[in-house]
Amino acid sequence: MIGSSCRASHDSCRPLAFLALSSVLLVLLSAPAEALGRFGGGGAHFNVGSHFNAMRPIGGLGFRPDLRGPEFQGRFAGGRPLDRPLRPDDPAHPIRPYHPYQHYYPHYWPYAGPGHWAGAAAGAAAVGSWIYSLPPDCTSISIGGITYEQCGSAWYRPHYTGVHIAYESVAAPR
Amino acid sequence: MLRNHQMGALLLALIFIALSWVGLPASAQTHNQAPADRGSAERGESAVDPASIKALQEMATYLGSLKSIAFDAATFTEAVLDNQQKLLVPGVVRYLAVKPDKLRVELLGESIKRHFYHDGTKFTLVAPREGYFAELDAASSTRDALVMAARDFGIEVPFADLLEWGHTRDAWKNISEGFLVGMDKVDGKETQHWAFRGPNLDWEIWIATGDKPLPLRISTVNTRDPTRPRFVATLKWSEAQVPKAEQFSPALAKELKRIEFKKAPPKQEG
Repeated sequence: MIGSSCRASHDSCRPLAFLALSSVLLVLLSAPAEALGRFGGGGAHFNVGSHFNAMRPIGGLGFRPDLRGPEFQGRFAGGRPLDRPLRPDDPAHPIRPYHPYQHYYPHYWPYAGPGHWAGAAAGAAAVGSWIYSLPPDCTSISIGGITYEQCGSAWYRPHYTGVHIAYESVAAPR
Repeated sequence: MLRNHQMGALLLALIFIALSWVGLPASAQTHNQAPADRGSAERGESAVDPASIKALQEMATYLGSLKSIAFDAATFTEAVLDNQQKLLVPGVVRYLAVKPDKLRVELLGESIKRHFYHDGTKFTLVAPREGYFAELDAASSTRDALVMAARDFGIEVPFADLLEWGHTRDAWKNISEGFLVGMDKVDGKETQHWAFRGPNLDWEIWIATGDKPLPLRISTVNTRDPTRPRFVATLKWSEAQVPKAEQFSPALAKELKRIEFKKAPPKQEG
């Protein structure tokens, strides 16, 4: 034991040793989390040739500021951006009601499932915002060669973002 | 008994060791370089068994000699949740390519279904479940169309490699380590199991022995991602067939609605 080697006249060495050890521990614990935060991943890849993959740096999304949300990045940029370090006591994923025909892959690249996790918009999303699954009871309508989804009073324009489908909330086109 | 200054030195040494130990993987990731690259470079020796490159070249030569490529693949992809829990997601890929510019790939999973087409003039992506399709002008080889789709629109089509291997000289230029793992059987067929490392990717390939050196299993591990997700595919090759032209253009039913691809931000290699 390191502490026991200290002489009585040098009591200060014990807290010093403790401090030094804790700082080592702190570095040990925080470094991986920091690495994760800086470098948010990329998911599994189908190809060896890097020119065939869709790898994008986290935070490198240039579409619009409101597309930089974690959900969009998780689905399109391919990473799971971590805006805070992971903690061992992070809550588990909320338990979803069992549904035999619906799969649950909230952050999954390549090829996430429908946007379970993003949550369908409750009510109308603000114009210009993006969602990953539509509210129930939408009707697909083509106006001026553009496909829209009308969901009550809300209108959405679907796009492919990579192979995923994302819906941009738009003003009513008519 | 340790004197104070000895103990201080010991502590400092401990801290230094701990810091350098911790710092290494973090900085390796920051600089985007697989630790293995650095190791072999420092030792000044080649970690690439020449036989491994020869095996790849023989496979590539055979693939390059094929006019059409047809197989069904059973795939497993690791999905990583926010808390780093990994899920194993199964899927099936039905693949048909006629070189140089025809492709039909059906990706069938429980969570997602996508059909990719290239008919020599257009690249089309169909989402049958959602009822959407989108098109890109792609009057090029399929290989070039898939590079464009990945670069400009963030679309990764499975097994694009198979269209390139045998048609390009520098396909293996990024390999930093390669060795024979051993002889394995895949679906009862004898294969050589090879392992490779490159920037951001560890990968393995099981190549059939004999006069048809086809890849029967492919695995990748994304080492750029801290959670290192894996993709594994087992390929069941079909006998040569004569595909019809209409197989490469989607039968776009009236219910399918046209949407657009969102342009992806510029890609940063490596």
